[in-house]
Amino acid sequence: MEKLSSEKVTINNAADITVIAGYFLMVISVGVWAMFRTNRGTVGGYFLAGRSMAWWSVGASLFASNIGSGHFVGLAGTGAAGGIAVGGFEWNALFIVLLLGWLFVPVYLTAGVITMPQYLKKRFGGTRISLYLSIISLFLYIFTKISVDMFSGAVFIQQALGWNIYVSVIALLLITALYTITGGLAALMYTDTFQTFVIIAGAFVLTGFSFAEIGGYSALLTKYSSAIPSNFSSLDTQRYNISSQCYTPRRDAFSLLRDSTAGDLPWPGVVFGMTIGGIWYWCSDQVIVQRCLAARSLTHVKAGCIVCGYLKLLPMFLMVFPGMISRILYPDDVGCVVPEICKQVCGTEVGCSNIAYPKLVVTIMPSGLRGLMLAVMLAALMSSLASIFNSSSTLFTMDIWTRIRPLATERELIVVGRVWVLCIVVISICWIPVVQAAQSGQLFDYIQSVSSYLSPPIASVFLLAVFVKRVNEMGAFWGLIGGLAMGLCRMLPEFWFGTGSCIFPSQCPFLICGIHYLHFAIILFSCTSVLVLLVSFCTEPIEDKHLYRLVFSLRHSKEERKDLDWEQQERARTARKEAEEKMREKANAVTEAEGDKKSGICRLVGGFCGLSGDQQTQDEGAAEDSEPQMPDISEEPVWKYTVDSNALVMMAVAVFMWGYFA
Amino acid sequence: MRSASELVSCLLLLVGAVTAQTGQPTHYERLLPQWLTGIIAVSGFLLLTFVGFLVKKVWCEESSGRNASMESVRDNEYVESNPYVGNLDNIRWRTACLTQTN
Repeated sequence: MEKLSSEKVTINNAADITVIAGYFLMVISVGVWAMFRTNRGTVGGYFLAGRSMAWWSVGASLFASNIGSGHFVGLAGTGAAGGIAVGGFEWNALFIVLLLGWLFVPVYLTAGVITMPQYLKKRFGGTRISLYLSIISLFLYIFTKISVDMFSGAVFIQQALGWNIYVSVIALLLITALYTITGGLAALMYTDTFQTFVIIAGAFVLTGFSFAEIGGYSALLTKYSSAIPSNFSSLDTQRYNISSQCYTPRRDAFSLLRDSTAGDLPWPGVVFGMTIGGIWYWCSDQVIVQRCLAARSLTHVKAGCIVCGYLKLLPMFLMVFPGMISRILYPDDVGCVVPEICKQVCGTEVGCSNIAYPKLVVTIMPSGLRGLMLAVMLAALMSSLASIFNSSSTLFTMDIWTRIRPLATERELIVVGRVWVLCIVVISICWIPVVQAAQSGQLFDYIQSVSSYLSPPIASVFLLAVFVKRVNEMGAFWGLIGGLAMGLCRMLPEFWFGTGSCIFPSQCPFLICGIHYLHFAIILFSCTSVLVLLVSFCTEPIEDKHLYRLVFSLRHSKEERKDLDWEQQERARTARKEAEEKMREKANAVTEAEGDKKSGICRLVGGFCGLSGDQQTQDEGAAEDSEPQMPDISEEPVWKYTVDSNALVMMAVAVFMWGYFA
Repeated sequence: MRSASELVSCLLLLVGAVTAQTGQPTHYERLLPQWLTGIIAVSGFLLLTFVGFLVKKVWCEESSGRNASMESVRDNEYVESNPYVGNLDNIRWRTACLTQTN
């Protein structure tokens, strides 16, 4: 990527370095403290933090896992280019997160599952749906979440610091992997709480400086529409012409709900399409749900969701507005339109709106605070990556590895979980060249599209699985496959032809690519739902005795459930017990022969990783009640009313904000 | 409830129509000040919530009325068989209904 010619600023003064070093020390110490606080030797302890987290850490972790460096770069960049409608993604989440806490998590909790594919396996029986979900979730993680966050972190580091991209990203990934691997979910959630503070504090400081720079909110409203670059005539009229709409700020830049045909984010898409994506991301995705499952009780889950909702009000003000301010202050850089000039400024011809946030950090912040902003970006990047690492390792361990090796002991599962994190780190590092090769302006469009084309079937199946008892395995499976086919029909041609830009529109035929991706998400969701219901009603239903505590209407029932996968589980459990018996006999024989020869280093590593010598007795005890005691979803009335009324207040605030900016 | 949703959809349509206008000055004109649209949206929302709450209360009372008569029949049998169990099932069912109102 090209470097900024004149304003190369490097972090080389004491203030910045102290701030960054202090940040890393804090993160690592919180991680280490969390290590000693929880038992990471059991599956429940490692992957679900022992189900002991309080509401504030649940809320902060939800926010920090969600907000990655992709938000800083992407929200600010899209805000600079198109106005505030992109903040609708954030404010939509306010409602979805309440859906999560009130409707979905009670069902997941009483079902007693750790991963989402596990839930589908219990709900529908059979193995193909859970396998499909695990694979597609891992695929979506690697290609949407990890790549977006790493790309954005790379953009920031390159623009703001000029460091070598491989060195910085590898260092970041290794530090993240370190406290992810050792600490498990508990360490993650506690560090997330710390990182939420850092993110919000730093972002507030930058927002304050930006508004001071342009002269207040009213100045933003008036100056944005005149943020036009000075060079807007084509340098090569043979190849292209630049129409005025390509470089003039949008007239509806300050409204959330835009025209349904001419808008870049049409309002039906914003209201319904974002909701569908939100249902996938917040209510059925492992990363987010795992944090809710780790909470102490249902009331803590709900309170945590409310905290997360309030925090989600902030990105509009902390990221979108500064992005727009950046365009006002630097229209020739952030708002560049001539391809040759853009290539000089940020290295890609498509556009340079992605440098909106890093540019502000480099130019407006005094030293010391620049280090703080770098810490903020690192906090966002590391918290998201760590969460994704942990959740993908959970998915891989509990769903894919247990299928490959049903006889795995708990200890083996935990080790495999950790090794998988290393594998994902390596895959992420190998992804960097791809990220660099893709034109930066288009990567975000690709990411949005991939989510909109692949996630609506999953959202539809989960919604129907939780609320409609009649839906059975055949319906869900064929719905997922049909939805996937439909999504690929749109996604592959669009990848092939490219999304194009304002100056060089794409060659994709209108029939395929003409529909906005949010509208397509709505269509895909409805078609999948119809397909699921159709096939389900044509085949036999699942009896109630298999569905107690797996659907919303039966979430309070106390009857004994006959799991659809109980045979499989029984076989696995007895096989595991036999394997452990044999191992214990062998181990006893060996220790008798050799005495205590375990070296100090072995014990140290074991203690560091939470696998102690008396693991086997722990294993026995844990294996006996390895089916987690059904978490109680009853709530004390006092707290229930408090939490419910708080949710109402939050929804009223959200509705007011939507109404104000509509 | 219908009037409120009509009002909200009217508002959305208005906004849509306004943004589709061409040949306007750089700032597009809003028909109502922003804080007013916010207040209207909140009142519409609170109205909808109130109505939904009423509906749920009526629905729950209906089913609880129906089931309470079934429960009392079962309770009599219970009392005959085991005098110490009492009305535990009835209480448990009622709390379940209450928690279901969410």
